Amino acid sequence: MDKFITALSNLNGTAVIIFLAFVAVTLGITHWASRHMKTTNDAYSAGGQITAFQNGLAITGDYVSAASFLGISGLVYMSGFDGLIYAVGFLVGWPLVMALIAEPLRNLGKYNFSDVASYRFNPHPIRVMASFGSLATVFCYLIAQMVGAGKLIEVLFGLPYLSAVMIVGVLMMVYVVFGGMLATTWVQLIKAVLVLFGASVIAFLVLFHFHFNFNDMFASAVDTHSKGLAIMSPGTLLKDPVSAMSLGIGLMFGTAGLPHILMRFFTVPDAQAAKKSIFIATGFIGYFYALVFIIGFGAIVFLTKNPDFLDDKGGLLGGSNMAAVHLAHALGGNVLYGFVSAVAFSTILAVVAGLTLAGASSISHDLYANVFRRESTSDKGEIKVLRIATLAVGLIAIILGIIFENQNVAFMVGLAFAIGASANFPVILTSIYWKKMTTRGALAGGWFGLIGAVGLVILSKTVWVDIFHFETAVFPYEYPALFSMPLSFLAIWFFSITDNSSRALVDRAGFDAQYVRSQTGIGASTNTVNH
Amino acid sequence: MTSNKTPASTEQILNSTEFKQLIVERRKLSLPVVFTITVAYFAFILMIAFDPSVLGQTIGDGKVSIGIYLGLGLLLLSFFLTYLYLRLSNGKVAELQQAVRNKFQ
Repeated sequence: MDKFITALSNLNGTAVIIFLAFVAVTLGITHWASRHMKTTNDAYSAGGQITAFQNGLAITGDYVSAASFLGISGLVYMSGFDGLIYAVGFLVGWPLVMALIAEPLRNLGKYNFSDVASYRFNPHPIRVMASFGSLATVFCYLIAQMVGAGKLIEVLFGLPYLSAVMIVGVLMMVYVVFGGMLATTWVQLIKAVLVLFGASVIAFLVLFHFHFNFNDMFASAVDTHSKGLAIMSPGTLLKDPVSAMSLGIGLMFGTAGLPHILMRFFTVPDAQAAKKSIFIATGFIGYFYALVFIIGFGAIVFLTKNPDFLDDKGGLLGGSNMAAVHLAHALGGNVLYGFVSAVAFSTILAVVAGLTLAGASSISHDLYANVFRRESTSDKGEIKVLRIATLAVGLIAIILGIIFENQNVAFMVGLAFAIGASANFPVILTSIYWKKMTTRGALAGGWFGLIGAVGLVILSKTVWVDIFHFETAVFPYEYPALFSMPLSFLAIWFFSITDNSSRALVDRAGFDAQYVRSQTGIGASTNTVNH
Repeated sequence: MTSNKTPASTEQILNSTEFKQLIVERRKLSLPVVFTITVAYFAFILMIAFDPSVLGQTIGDGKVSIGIYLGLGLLLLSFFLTYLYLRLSNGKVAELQQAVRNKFQ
């Protein structure tokens, strides 16, 4: 405990100054963006005027959460190889998004993936289903980020958990309410540059120590770590084959079902720019995960036997999630420590802003404008609802962050990906490519996938035993996607081929026109807006 | 979002040689990308699931295991495949797309 207090008193002005500078700059941008937020197109997709490179960086900012940066480096620090399983899983979805989803999605939609799922089907029930899928994904992800933020700020800045969660919640609401997608995009951009720079510096210092000889670095880590050579092979993260495959499926296909990521494809002028931004994002994200892997191994080498960063039991001060931050301190002194702390905080802030916008726009665009008002709303009215929805999403996120204070962060991110893979991805993919699909099939697939994923998690040990205190779990595995994603595809198939309703005829007849537009871009939303 | 195309023109586009070629060319590009990354990733996951000791073996007299090489290789493969798709789809696929647009738009 003494060491913990010493660590807190070591906290220097660098972290606070850099963080306040980040807040000041992003609030300035929000003020600037607020004057450009006149139409729903501005609010949801920044007028489609973001360049491919900017969007690639912004996707990186959206995708690389604090859970990746702190969580994966912490996982590598604890057990070596296992951290790589997450890092790889987070990247392999991108070639799929590139080859199957990006272009048709951009050609068919306007603001979000519900536009695509409802293109030829009965739009109202489909939008209700799609927005529930979006909101479920968004809230799981938000809980993970809020809890991570609270814990991090508690350790780094000495603020109580509650006020840390409130600060994050209020700032993200300000960005989205006043600046919409334009402000959110710039928050992502700045954060992406900061986090890539910070991680590069730490990884460079680690490699510099080993004269850029990777083998020496790994050898030194093996010699230092209590598990020895075991850190070079799969460890205890995945206890059984089913869990391994289930997590793998969730991570790979979940990427293609994350609403806040899919929304970013509409901020660029056309499908070509959307593809280019995916390529840029994949490059930056892959580079980042390689850095995080090096940082994790660096933490093993430099922290494992360094009493400055260990508690009485030999664990890291503030938990294993602090590995990257402590390593920055050990290698770069107080300046780098302060810088990386501030970067970690801004990382969370940027991700929650993107999530809040995705969740709130699902309420204002899908539920309010298209379902409740049956498309008879004005831009002004819809933006007003977007702002109210943002406040609601933000408040709920703060409350959930407080309720789930002790929930495992990595698990919640895994769950968000599992819902994305089970509820959103199957509907998006089949609605684009399968002619015989009908409204009934889409609804069955979306709801079965969502309820299946959430239901299996409730029946698993994490909720059934740990929260509800039942004796044994009904569902013996940790991750649901291996079961819930095929369930969704099966439901889409079965309830479509057996559908003989009159609506089914309309749905199937609509495919050809949709197919032509998705493949050629003829008739696509072009974003040459008149201001 | 306004479409002034009549159903007849959808039919015309669908039956045009340019459009049919576009679909073939795109498929030749997207299916191998999807197949490669899915097979490579699930081979990796299945090895973790069923025979983790294989991945733990070190190569030569170094300390770096096969699993680490394969994992980092998958990161590179993902990047390479997105690059490949972007690069190649800017060639023939983009030309055919333009041809369809010129003819019907």
